[in-house]
Amino acid sequence: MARYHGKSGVVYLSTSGSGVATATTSLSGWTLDLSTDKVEVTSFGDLNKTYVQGLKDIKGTFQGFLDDAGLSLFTGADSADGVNMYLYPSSASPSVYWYGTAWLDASIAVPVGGANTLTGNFVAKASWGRKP
Amino acid sequence: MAFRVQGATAELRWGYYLAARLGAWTIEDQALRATVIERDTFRMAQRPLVLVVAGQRWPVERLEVIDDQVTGWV
Repeated sequence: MARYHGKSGVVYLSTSGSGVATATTSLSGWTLDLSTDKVEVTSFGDLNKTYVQGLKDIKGTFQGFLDDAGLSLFTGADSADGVNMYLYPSSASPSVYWYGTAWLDASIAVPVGGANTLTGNFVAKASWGRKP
Repeated sequence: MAFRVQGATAELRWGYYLAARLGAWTIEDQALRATVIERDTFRMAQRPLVLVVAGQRWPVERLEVIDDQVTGWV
């Protein structure tokens, strides 16, 4: 076991659901939300609220800086069959990653007083997994 | 979903030393295929070798080089 700094995160992304993923450039962060749906089933006499668990609603975000070499993100956002993603918490541990096919949205911000940035979000298109 | 990633450039390193500079490469379900642009024969014969891509380091196993093509297992 090891702990990692976020400075070494890596995102591999394809431009279509059938494409091969490549390392994206100029990203500065990503998140992955693996929350499950919860349905309340609290009944008379229970001592606290209780829930049953539904499916994971896998979704996430990424952010970074607009880069001529990183425009494949926008190609992926236009894909009609989604994109393949591999999310690494750290380049120091290439055997630890989350992966799956996703629907991708991307957006750009161009502020007069700052760097051009990109942000995006994604939701699962199919089953996701984690290695190991 | 099969594991499939690719890139345009990479390096093989033996410790700190550059063993080979690679062009187009792919990893598909741990199988590495790449084109060798330049190599140091002595360093390529050493172990362990590591595939370095944009700071990411993949330990390489069972490496084989034929002409300018390298195949291996990461």
